[in-house]
Amino acid sequence: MRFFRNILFLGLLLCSGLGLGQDLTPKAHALYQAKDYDSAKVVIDMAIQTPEKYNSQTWQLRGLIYRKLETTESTVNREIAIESFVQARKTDTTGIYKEKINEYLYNTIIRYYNDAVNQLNENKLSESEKSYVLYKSKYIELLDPNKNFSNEDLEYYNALGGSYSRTLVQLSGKEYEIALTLAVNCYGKVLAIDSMNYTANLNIAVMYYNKGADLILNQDPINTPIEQLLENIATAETLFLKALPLMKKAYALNPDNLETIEGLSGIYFGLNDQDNYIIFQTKLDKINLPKYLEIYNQNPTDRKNIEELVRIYSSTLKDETQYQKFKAILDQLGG
Amino acid sequence: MSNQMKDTRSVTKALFLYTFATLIDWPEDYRKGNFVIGVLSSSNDVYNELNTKYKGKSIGSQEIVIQKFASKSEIDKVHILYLGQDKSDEITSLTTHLKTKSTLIVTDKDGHLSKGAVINFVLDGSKQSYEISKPNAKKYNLVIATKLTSLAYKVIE
Repeated sequence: MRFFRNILFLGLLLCSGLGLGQDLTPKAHALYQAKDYDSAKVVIDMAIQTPEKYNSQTWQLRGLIYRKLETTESTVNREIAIESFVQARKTDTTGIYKEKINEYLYNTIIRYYNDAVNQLNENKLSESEKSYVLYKSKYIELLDPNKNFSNEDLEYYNALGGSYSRTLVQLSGKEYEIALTLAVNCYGKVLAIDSMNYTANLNIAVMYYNKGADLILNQDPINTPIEQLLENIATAETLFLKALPLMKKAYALNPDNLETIEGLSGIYFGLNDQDNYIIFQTKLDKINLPKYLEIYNQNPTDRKNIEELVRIYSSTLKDETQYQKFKAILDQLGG
Repeated sequence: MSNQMKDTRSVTKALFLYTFATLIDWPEDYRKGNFVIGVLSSSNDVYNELNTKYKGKSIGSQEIVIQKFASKSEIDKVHILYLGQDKSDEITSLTTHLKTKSTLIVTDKDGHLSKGAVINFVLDGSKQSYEISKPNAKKYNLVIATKLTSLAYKVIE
């Protein structure tokens, strides 16, 4: 029995030797090195029709050639490269190329991640997410089934959520609703991993707040029946109440950030919670007062800025002398 | 409120004031000339909102005019008078001043229906709403549409 097994092994070696004798893989390699990738592709595709297909290096080379032939329009050649590296790993029965092949695979699969980032920068948001999901699925399938993507997910979905939320200002109606849902879903994925994530808490809160506030501000002043007005008020209240706990969490995480103080001030204002509104507006005014005074020094006729100073000195940071001074200036400016 | 903030409150109050104008009937002698909405408040928020969005529009055939008053003595024939929170203390003298007029006095302070306001802005939880005094409306010869009373937070019969 052992005798027969040895004969079989020898036969395979001979066949393999015959195949290698055609020298297609070295020819393809030479073309690859000469950067004639199209010709290299033709030769390497012939090679895998011969017994050279049992050679892991043939498949590795095929992967490298196809990777070079990748275009920005299509990932077909990238897919073929990945399939080739997988085949190279299968034919590497002794495992001597394992590390190298895995490096090839990683360097190819990471291109889906790079696509995701580039598409994000080009505002091709749904394509970007598809690329990111593909990157993860390929990585898990072909490199590491136990890979933990939490950090990548946090970074990516915060960025994608930010991109969707930035589109909101240009959208209305159904398109606005879709983009808002997508943005909230992205940040929801972040919060599912890390409920204390500052960016996600802040941005969902801002989106809910803006939606509620814009619903009120964008009402038709003349043709809004009272029933509709009351419905809009109720919807806005629901949105402000959804925003509040998230903004509070963001504030707890980063109490010195202007955005969270501004956010809470705005939400409490929208909710007609005067006591809490004053608390946060006072914090905000304390931070902003030096800036307003500086603006006044540089431009003493900036009416809006003087209005702010009058408001601050008469409400949150009461100072009768300063109030009278800026009120008089405002009155002098007229208008 | 700061210039940067989205002023949801003034937009809501101004829209309510305009809506009140469309759902209330004034006596015959108030149905000619301009339709005057006055604001007695040291804050400009509601006034600015009214002035920006409603000035020059109309109630029936009457053109809307928005007026801001520094004191009650300036007030004469006004269809709607919004008394800002900061001037709430003037409600009693104001009702005396306007007792022979048909002015819809709208206030923004708890308990002001009992002090002579016809409509008072109140909060329903954290939602802006309003309450109505039918007896006060009658005093000023104002007829309030059923729709307005049926949607009010509270109605004093």
